[in-house]
Amino acid sequence: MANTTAAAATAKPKRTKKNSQGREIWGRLCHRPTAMIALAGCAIMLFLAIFADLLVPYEMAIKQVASEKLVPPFSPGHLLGTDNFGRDILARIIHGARTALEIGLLATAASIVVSTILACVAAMLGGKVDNLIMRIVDILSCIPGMVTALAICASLGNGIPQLVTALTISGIPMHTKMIRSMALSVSKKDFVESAVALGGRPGYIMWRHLCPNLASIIIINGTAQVSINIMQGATLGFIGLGVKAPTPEWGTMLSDGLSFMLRNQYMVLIPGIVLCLAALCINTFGDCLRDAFDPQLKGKS
Amino acid sequence: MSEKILELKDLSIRYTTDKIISRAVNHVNLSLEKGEVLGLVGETGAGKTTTALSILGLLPKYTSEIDGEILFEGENLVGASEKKMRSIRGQKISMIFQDPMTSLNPVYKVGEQIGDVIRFHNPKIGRIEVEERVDGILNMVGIAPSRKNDYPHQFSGGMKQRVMIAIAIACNPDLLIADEPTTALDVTIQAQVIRMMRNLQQELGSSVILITHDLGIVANFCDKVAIMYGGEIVESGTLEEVFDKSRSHHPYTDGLFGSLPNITERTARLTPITGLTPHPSELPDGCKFHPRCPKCMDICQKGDNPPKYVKDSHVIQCHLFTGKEAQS
Repeated sequence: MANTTAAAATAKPKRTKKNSQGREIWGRLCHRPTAMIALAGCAIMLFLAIFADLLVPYEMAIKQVASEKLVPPFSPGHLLGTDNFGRDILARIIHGARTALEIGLLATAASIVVSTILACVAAMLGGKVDNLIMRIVDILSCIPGMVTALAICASLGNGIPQLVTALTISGIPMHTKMIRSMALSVSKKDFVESAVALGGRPGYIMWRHLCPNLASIIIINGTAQVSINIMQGATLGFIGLGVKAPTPEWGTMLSDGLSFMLRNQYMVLIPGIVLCLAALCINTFGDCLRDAFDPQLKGKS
Repeated sequence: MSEKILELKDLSIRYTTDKIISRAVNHVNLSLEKGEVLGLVGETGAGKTTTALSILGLLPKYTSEIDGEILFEGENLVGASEKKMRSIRGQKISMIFQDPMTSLNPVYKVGEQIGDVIRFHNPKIGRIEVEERVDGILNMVGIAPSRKNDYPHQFSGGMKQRVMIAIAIACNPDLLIADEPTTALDVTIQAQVIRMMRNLQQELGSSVILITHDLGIVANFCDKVAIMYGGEIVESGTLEEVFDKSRSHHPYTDGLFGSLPNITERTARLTPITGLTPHPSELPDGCKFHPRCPKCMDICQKGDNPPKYVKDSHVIQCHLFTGKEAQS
C-alpha cells in the first residue's frame, strides 16, 4: 500500500517487468514436476492430433491388409502390431487421438459456453428466470449423462456431431450449477452493483464483469470435463454407439480387441493404456491448474 | 439557483421478507435545488442508503415496496421503466459507493472502467475521444493520466476512491449521490477527498447528496442538512440553522452533537445517546425516538408522528415545540 501511494505521489509509475496474473500462474505451474509431466502429456496428445497426417497417412489407419492380420508389436513395419483386419495399430492410435480430442474439446467448449450463458442470465436476472432455468437444468441432471448420450446416439445415429451433441447436453447441468453458484456471489459484489448504478446494461455487466471473474472456475471445470468427455466418448465407442466404423477411435479399438484378448492381449492393452494415460494427464493438469489459480487451496486438500 | 432538481414527496419504503415487514423509510420529504449540497446524517439503519438507492431505482425488485413520489427534474421516478432508469443512472444521477476497495472490478484497468461509463451513455463516441475524456477526468480528480493503465490493486485506498469519483462524474451528472464516501478511508485522506469533492462540485455545478454519519464532514461540505432517525427526517434546515447551538433542536440532534468531542472544552467523557437504534421492523409507536429521548413526555409514546415545527426553512419533528414558539 505504501509503495502505491509513493508511486502515486511522484506520479511516475515504475515500469518494471510486467507482473500479470497469467505469468504468476505459469510460474507456479513450473514449480511442480507433476504439472510439467501432465502438461507434456497433454502437449504430446495435442501434437499427435494436429500433425496426425504428417506422422502417418490416414490411409494407414484404415487400410486393411489381409496378409498382415494380427501381427504382434515390434514387428518390422508395424511398431505396435496390427489388428484383426490388418490395420496398423500405431496409426490408429495416432489418428484416434485426433478423434478423441475433437470430441473432448468440442463437447466441452459447447457445454461450457451454453452453461456460462445460462448461469450468468440466471444469476443476473434472478427471480422467475432463475427459477425456470434452474428447474430445467434440474430435470436434465435427473437423467444420467450416459443415458442422455445413449438416447441421442441411438436416435440420431453414429457420428462425431451426434456424439458431441450428446456429450454437450450431458455436461450442461453440472457446469450450469457450479458456474451459477459462483456467478451469484460475483453478482452481489460492489463493483457489479456500482456498474448497475452507473447505467450498465445487463448484457454488458454479464460480459465485462461476470465472465472474467468466473474465468478460474470455467477453466478448471473445462479441463476436468475434457477428460470426462474423452472417457465417455470411448465408452460409447466401446458399446458400439461411437463414431462410424472405419474411423479410428480408442473405444472402438478396445471393443474390437475384446474378442482376441486371450491370444493377442496387445490389442486391448495398447488402446487401454493410451486412454488411461490421456485421461490421467488431462485430469492431473486440471488439478495442478486449479492449485495454481488458487494458491490458498493448495496444501489444504 | 431556485430550480428544484430533486424532490421526495412523502416517500415510504418497506422491505418485506417472509413475515417481517421492515419500514426502512417513512414519509420522507426532501427537496434539493440545483448546485446545492445536502447532507443526510443518521446512524446505521436510519434509512439513508435505502433513500439513496430508491432515487436510482436500485432497490431489490421483489422484496421492496415504494410509496410516494420521487421527482427528478419534475419527472416521477417511482415506477419508471428499467430502460428509462438506465438512461438516468450514471448520466444524470450518479452514485459513489462506500467501499472503494470492492467497488472497482479487479480485472480491468481503471482507465477502461472510466471509459466504459462514458461509452454507456455515448455509444457513438470514438475511441480517441473516450481516451481524451478519461485523461481529463483523471486530471480533475488529481490522478496522473499515465496511471490509467494500472489495475485497481495498484492504487491505495484514497486513490481508489478518487477513481470511483472519477467514474461517477464521468458523464457530468446533475445529481451526485455519495454514500459515505469517506468511511473506508483514514482521516487525512478523508480531508483530501472531501476537499477535492467540494472543488469538483463547485466546478461542475452539480447537486450532491452526501450520506454520512460524520458531522464534521457535513460542516465542511454541505449547504443543507437533514437528520434521519428510524426512517424519518427528524430535523432539517440549512447548515447554519442545524449547527447553530443557540437555536433549539430535536433532542436527537442535540444527542448527536453531544457525542462529539469539542476541541475548545475539556471533557472527561462524551455524552452518548443511550440505547440502540430500533430495528426497522420494530419501530415504536409515536415518536420513533421516544425510548431513547431524555425529554420524553407522555404524549410522545402514542399516536402518530409528532407534528412538525417550522421556522423559515428549519423543520423539527418533535412534540417539544408544538404550541409554543421556540426560543431563538
